[in-house]
Amino acid sequence: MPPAPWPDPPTGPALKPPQRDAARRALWAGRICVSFLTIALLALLGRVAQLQQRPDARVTAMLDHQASVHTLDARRGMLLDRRGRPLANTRVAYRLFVDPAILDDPAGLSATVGYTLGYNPVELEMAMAQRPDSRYVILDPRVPDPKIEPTRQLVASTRGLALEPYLVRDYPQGQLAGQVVGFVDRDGKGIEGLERVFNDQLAGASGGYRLLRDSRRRPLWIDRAYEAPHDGNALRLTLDLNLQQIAEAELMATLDKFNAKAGQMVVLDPVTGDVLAMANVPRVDPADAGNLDPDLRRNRAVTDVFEPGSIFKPFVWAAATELGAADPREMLECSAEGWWKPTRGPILRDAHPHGTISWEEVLVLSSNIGMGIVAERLGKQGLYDIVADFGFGETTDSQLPGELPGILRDVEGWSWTDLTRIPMGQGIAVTPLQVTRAFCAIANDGVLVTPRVVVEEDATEKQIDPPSRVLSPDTALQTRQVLRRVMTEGTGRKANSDRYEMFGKSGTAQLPDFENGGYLENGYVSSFVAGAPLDRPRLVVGCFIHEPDKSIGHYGGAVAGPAVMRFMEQALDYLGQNPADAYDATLAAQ
Amino acid sequence: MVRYAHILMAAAGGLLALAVVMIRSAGMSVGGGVVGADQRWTAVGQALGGRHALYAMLAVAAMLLGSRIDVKGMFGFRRQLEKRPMGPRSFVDQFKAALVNPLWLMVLGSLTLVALTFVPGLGKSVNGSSRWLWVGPLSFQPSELMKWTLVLAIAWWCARRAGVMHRFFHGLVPPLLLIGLGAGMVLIEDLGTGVLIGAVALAMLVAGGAKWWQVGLLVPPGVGLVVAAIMTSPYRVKRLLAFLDPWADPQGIGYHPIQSLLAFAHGGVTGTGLGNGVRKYHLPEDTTDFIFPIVAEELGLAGAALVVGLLLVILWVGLAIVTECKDAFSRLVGLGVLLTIGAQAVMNIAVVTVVVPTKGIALPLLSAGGTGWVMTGFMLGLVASLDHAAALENTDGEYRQDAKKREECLAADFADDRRLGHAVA
Repeated sequence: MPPAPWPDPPTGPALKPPQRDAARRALWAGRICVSFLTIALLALLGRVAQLQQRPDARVTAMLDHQASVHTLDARRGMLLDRRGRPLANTRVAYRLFVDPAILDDPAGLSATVGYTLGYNPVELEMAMAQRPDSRYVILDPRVPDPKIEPTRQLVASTRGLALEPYLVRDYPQGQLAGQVVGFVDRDGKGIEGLERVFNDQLAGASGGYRLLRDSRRRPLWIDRAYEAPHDGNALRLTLDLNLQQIAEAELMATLDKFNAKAGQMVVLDPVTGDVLAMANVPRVDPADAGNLDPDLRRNRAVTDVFEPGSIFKPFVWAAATELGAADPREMLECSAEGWWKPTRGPILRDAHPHGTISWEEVLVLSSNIGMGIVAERLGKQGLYDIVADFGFGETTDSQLPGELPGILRDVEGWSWTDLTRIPMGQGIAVTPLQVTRAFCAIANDGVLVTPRVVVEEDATEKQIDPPSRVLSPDTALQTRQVLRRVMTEGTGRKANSDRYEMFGKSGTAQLPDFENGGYLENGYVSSFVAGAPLDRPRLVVGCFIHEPDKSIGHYGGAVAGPAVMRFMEQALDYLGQNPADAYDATLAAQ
Repeated sequence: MVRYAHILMAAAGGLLALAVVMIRSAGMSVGGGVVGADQRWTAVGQALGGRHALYAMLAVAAMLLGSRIDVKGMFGFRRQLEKRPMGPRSFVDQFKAALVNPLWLMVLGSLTLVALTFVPGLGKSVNGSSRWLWVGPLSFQPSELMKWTLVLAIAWWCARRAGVMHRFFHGLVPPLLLIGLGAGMVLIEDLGTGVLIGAVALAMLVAGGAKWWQVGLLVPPGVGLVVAAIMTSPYRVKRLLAFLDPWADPQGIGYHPIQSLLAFAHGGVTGTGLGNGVRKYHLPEDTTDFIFPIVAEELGLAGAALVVGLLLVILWVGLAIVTECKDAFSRLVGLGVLLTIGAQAVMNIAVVTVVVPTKGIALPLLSAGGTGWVMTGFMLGLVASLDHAAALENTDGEYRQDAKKREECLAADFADDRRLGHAVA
């Protein structure tokens, strides 16, 4: 049997007692020490986790201080007219401010800046003296464009002086369409007009980033949270600035002539419903938004209601004809005395006694009695349906802010007076836009369009309700022809154009006296609504003059009519409408 | 076959690798600075991590070198059995043995070098304390050398005098004198390292056989000495105040603690990602004493846990090696190295997490420092070599081969004991 390679069991060398004791003792001491060190290290790791997860509030505050937050402004979208002309845009402006604490020559600043840039040194001194401890004194909130370059040069050479860029909203057209466009507040948020309604589309989403800085505040890099700014979308309006300009000019001239308080003119494309112009006079300047009279800054074409008066008659006339309640050639006994007692309700009067006239002449001569007679045939419900069909009593969905539905009482609440007064435009309240739009149905072969202020670039994408038909094309044409007679032989003679075949209707309504009841002695709304050309209308214009001076004139045909006529001639010229037919017709007639 | 020595050296190498990466990241600065200083190195050197990669390689080389050294033989704990006559050694023999034992040279050299730092013109002043010494183009801290020399010296003494360590004057006083001299001189300029050296030395004395109450009695005077050192130095008082309330002067004395806290808070548990830390642009000592907050900021809790984990691996694998060694000297050397590294790490991390007042003390193998890395690597190499030696002894060592020689050897040792006056049990 071969000897085992290892004669001894592997127990290691046997050491003498003191050595062995020392070795054992060293091992035990080592185990204890290493255990302690392990506990300490693990505890410190826990401390690290604590510092990472629950830092001291002061530490968190300092962390925020290490980064500076910068915002990247997004530009608000432009407002354009239908041909791309800007109504409102956003651009960078500069304010000039000074930090007096780091000025090299605080005493000489006002003189230097004043002399170089043309400010009044006294005003600069006062601006700085008002807030002596401030380190941000604004010297000029908006440096004018020509001054920017010289200011930049001065700022570059002067410590403590600085230009600060910020975004401003510009209204390059000034007062044109001021109430329609509206305006924005200091933060660039739309608070009135289209600026408010389409704020979400116009407003961009501002971006920003966090910049980390080192111990000397030098920038290091952007800390994760970079967000690009998104500029707002431009909005193309249906307004045509030329038509708007013409409308406002005519309106202002009319207001001047008749010493009236206010006026509106609404111009619609009867086929599409595009609001081509919407003038409010007196005008306001959107750039001066802060100082505006709240009464003036409303777009009164949609926010104010009035009793329409005779201007309301064509709608009832056309619908009654359509329903067969009366035939245009039917002769109606309209009282030779000028007054008529309805079956129920109070007596009705005409301005002039008409005697027996045809249903057609009732509209041409604007006979209240004739309208009352036919209204009795229609009945309350019939009349109510007509009025409601033409869109009265509800908003037009024009998207214009603050639009009112007008006042159309429920048929259950109608008195017998209402039955004969509503056809002549009393006992009902409408907005200028409602009347003009309803008139569009007559111009548009009986189809009622929805007014719109924004050009839909992709109308195919959008689900739109089909426009509702309120008249047959024949009746609509018939009504237009009768309204043409209004222009040539009725109350619209003063508004008749030699060059274009217009059709229209005047209205003269008394303003209600809210204090004493009844109507004001000298308060009128003189209105005129017209379309042209007759066979294929391109424009429908409603003109509403509030409180003209009665001594100069107050009938709608005399006050508002000529303004409409002059607008129509200029506008159709501008639109390239050929006047030849109408002109020839006029010549032929002579 | 993977042995403890390999795991130990792998863990140390891991810490060094992490150190190179993190120093690279922490050394980044905007527009030149540290990177610019490194640019004299070649592109390859840059790619490899610059100057510190070289230092790390040197440290690994030192570790491998150390792992090939027979520590016991070098310090006279291995009998040359063939040449060794029976019986007690003569005085001449002992003197000869002493001549070849490098310990005396190391002790004398370390003391001299530490003393030289006090010589004006030789010492290099960094951050207000002259603890550095120029040696040619290199500068190093003699306190680092003193740290390791004391470990070896105490282990040698305790093992050599194992029989009398329980006696005060014969066993305890001589090492105490050395500790007092060495640690005391270090303490004057470098409180942190002084405290570390003293604490480790006292622990080793207890482990080496001294009576614990005798050592314990030394602690109050030691603490008194430290307090005196703090009170006599204005900047140490400031640091203490900064620890008590860093927010009193965030830009002044509280700057370091607060910036360190900010680093942990900014990184959070997940960390900012490698290179994305911000605190390194604020912390002046970002690559050295305050490297740990940078690791935690950029690598999060995982990074901190990695560092602590590698340190724990070194400690426990080292302890396993210590267990494998059967003789007191090996165990005490291994223990001394482990305790030094472990205690230094604990002190550093405690400082940067604002658990104790700010002290300039490096995190072993992680804080930038060429000489520190090389020496720590070498000492860990020595621990690894203990594993190699133990493996040899426990398997095919000389003792095992010849029972007769072993008997002779034991007899010689008994003779030694008798000569030293220790009663043989």
